[in-house]
Amino acid sequence: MLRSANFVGLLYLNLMSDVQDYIPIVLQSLVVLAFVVGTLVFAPKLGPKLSSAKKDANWECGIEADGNARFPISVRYFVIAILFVLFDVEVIFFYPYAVNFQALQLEGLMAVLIFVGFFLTGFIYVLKKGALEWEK
Amino acid sequence: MLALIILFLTALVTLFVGFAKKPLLTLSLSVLGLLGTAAALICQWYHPSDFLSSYEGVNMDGFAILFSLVAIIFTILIIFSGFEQFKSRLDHTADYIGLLIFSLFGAIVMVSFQDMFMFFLGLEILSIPIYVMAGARKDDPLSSESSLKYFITGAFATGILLFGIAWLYGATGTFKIYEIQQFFMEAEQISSLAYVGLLFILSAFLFKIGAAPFHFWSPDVYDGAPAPVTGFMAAVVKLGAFGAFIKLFTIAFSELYDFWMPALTFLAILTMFVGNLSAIRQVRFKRLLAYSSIAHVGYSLITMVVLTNNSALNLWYYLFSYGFATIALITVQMIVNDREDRIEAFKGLGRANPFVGFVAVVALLALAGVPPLMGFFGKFLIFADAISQNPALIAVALLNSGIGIFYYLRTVIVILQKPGVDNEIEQSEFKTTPLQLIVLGICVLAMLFGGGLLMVH
Amino acid sequence: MSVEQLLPLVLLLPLIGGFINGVFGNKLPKVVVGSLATLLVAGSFFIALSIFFQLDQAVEVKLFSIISLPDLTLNAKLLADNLSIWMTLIITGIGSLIHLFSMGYMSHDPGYRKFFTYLNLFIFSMLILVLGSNYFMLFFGWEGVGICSYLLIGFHYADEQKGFLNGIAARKAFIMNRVGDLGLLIGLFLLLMQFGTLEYSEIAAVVTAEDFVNPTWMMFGITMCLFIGATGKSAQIPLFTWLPDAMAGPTPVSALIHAATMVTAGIFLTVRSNYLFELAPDTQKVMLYIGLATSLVAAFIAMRQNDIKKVLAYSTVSQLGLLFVALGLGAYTAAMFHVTTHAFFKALLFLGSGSVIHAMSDEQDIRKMGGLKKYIPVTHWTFLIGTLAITGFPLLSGFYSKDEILGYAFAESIPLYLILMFSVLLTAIYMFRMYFLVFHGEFRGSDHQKHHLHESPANMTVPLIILAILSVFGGVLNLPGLFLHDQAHYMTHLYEHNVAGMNLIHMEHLPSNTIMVLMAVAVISCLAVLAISYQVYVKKKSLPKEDAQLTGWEKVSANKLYFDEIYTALFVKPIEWLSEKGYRFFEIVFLNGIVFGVAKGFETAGEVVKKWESGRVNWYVLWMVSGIVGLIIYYLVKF
Repeated sequence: MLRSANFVGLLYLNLMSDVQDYIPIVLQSLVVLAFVVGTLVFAPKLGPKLSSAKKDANWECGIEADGNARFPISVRYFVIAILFVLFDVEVIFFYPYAVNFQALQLEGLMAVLIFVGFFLTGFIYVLKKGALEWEK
Repeated sequence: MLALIILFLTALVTLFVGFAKKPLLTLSLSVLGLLGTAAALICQWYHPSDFLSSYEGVNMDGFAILFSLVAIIFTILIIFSGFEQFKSRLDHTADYIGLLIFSLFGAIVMVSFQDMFMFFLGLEILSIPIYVMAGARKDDPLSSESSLKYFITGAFATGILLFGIAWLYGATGTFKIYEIQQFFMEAEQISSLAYVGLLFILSAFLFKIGAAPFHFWSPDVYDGAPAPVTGFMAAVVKLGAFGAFIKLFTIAFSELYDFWMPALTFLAILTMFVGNLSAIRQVRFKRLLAYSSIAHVGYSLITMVVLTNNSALNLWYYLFSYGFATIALITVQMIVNDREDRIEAFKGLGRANPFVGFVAVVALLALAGVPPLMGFFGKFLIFADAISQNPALIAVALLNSGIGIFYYLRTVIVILQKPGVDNEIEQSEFKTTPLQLIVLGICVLAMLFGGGLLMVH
Repeated sequence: MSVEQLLPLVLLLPLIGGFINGVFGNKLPKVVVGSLATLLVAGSFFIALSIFFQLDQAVEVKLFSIISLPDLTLNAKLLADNLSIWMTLIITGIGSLIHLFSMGYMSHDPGYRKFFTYLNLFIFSMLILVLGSNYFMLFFGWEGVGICSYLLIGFHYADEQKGFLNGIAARKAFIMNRVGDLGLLIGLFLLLMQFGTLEYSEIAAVVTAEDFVNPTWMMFGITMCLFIGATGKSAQIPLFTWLPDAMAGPTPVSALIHAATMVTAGIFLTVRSNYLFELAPDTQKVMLYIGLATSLVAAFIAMRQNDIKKVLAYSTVSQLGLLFVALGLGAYTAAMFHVTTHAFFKALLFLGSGSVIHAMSDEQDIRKMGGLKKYIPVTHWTFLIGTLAITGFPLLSGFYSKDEILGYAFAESIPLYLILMFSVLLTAIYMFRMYFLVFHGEFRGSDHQKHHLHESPANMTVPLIILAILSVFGGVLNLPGLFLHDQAHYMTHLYEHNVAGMNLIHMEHLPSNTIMVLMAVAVISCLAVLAISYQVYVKKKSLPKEDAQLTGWEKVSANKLYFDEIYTALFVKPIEWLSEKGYRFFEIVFLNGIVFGVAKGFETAGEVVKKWESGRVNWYVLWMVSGIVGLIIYYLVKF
């Protein structure tokens, strides 16, 4: 029955049974789209417009733009940034664990300990490797 | 599971031992750990029990053990042959070896997975260390380039894979491969989500194994990556990816065989032609290997296309034989050590160092599939298995083998030539280390007598 | 030890010898090389002898399987029955004598080691030929002896004067044999087609079964193909011209290969396949006439040859023709009998001629010899015995075996008998001519040669003496019923015993009166020729004329009936023309076009495909996307 339909139509057919469920989402999408487009289109038309060289600059924070944005930054920035993300993610895992602490009992504790253990090992490795030393 | 734990600990220990800056200690500990893993696997083979049997994500069945053992052997060989290079950066020796072992860990997970989740984890554990290792020669722009290219295309493929898994989950409602199989068997009508998901997963696999048209990364990456990593990619990564490939497609998607088989047939043919034809005009050795590996992927895909009871074993045997030949050649390449990796630099190898030359010639002939070398038996098994089902495909494969022989023999001739008199190419010294000689010895023995394995199975 | 265990040893010993001499020969002293080769072949002989006495039924020994397919099984299997062991005895027996002789004859040759390697390999191949239990093994041995014969004929390819000609002779032998081999090969394929097997015993079982329906044309085809194979190796018209040229090889080689053993391969093949030939009477007719013609033509040519070895070579061809007459008549045991005695006296004659040539400092022209009997007495006496044996002198071996065949010919038809008798007469004439020219009269060679005349060393004369004894008494092996009633026709009984098919063929015997008459005719004619020859060559001292003075039939004979010239005009020229044209058009235009075109095509394709690898990662991803899109399009099209 599906075999002769084209791809898009086929998706549609497949989802048809519960298509009414998606009507609110579709409506909301339309509203969002209309709001964004409407704001962008009408806002400049409605308000007064004053332009000057300073205001038209694409980065205005009171300091004169100087030099090129693309200059090399020490790789340590990135190393530290990525290590931060790693350990940050680790911390995120604690939230669900904390909520389920009672339910998971001893097995859960062991799992988390192993997990933290690995991260600790990683941290020791990072330290020993000297990745966090700013100057070497 | 025990094997995986040992392997993981081995990798960790290797990383930490590295701080002692004693390369030999690192080497011996890591190899010891790898051998321990192998021992655990062999125990598993004879006593299939597991102390973590409640965990269903991985299952060390016979298939997984066979593939894993080969992967371990290859890893040991590659660590041996690349040790000289690893040693030259003292502060990173352990990192190199540790990353390879982590990647091997991923490969073993990939051949033993039971659900898509573990499969994806395995794939990532396999890939990420390789992204890093490909760029291991930090001062070499080619190496960085290869790492970046591999990473970008790899990330893309991973995205596609995840997308595919998600679609598949949407269609079947499960991650477990046997449940997926069950679903396809019982489903009265299969949602198009499943088909598209399958195609996405297929694309990701084709990328990993390097089949056309998803192969473009491989010549650049093989060429730029350090030689041991190239060998690792050709031997172990391919093994893991193929293992997962055949496992997934023979279990989860076996019911949809009629759907994916024609597409795979076409891609297998395309891959063979692309690999062999591109290889003809190569002047760099590792690029030649890359294209030859693409061509071999084409031959290996035949096992998937015909899918008989022997397919998995044939594929295993084929990758086994291919791995030995490739590792031997990579080792020889390291011995020749030409800065620009020209095939011409092999000139005179046969006279300057007859043993190395002999191994190189044997390995090339094994890749070409010349009897009685192991490569011949590998090809023979695959072709013999497929000939009744799909003679046209085998005819194409044979034609391609014919093309292949051309560039392999051309390289053989270069190796056997007298050392050139022109000053353009300065002669390498062909320095070997004992470890490399051991690797070459093992490889050549395997290639010469590997046919005997057939007696066993 | 049992036959099963001994049989592979027979084969193995010469192979070991060939291997050791071939690989390590350079490091071994000459004596070791020669005696090793000789002893191993002799060892084979004694093992074969012990098998011969143990054998009471055919024994098959499987060595290994060569090809095993559902429809085709080829085994490397050995068969010991009386026929194969009999042949083995001849090959190894005479072979070891010739090895011994060669140790003396080749002692000054730089290729000593190589020579013995080849000889041993030849014995090995010949043994495979006769001992194999199927046509495949036979073919294997067949090709093996072909190669060894090629190597040995061209043995002195580096000779300054005659090296080139030796090479040509070797090539000629090889190519002519290939023609025959092709026939044999087609025969084997036809056999496979008809019977699905190449095993002698299986084919014999099918053919001799009572309900077997004779597929006449198929049988004719098979047997004709086998016979063509046999004409190649056994030098019959039209493929006989290689054999006289093969005399370019060292004399022991001529003795071993081109007289005693290899040329009997065709006879062996026919006897082995007797049950097939019995089903194809037309082939037997062809065989009969071809044999007859060969016998006559070769005898005629031998009349005016002046090279001592050429005379013997043509006599071999003539005798082989005689053998094919016997085979055409279905007289298989008679043929085997004559093969045996012929092996004795022809090996003797060749070795004798070798001894003569050795004494004459490598001179082969009988016009330059003469009066040698007092210089080399042992050679003279043994040569005389050989000559008498081949001419059918009463009570010598050739007398019995030849008369047996003549008797069968007489039983077939009287004209056949008369023609054959004529050929036998010719044999007697040229043999006595040669004998008298060589050993009687005045010495006609140079002073230098005369100075060097010497009797050969013991290791050359001993084989001569042994062969002479065999030539005298060899006839006992198969005495006709006339002499010994109980044990008569020993070989017939021997073969009936356990050679497939042989018990089905019974030749009728002539009445004993007739036999007596025939014998008398043979004896009288032989003696008459002897007397006349003595008159002509000894009393009148008549000498061969120079080539230029020959006229009439003598000229035709001396020029070998112009066979080579005819072949050149008939085959060589047209083929050369064809190949020239073929080379110009087919090879250069067509084949090169295809071959290089294909290669070029692939190279170009490679160049194109290589270009796809642009090095730009965005393109790579684009390709991957297009791959995925392609797959999805495939999906949409499929459903």
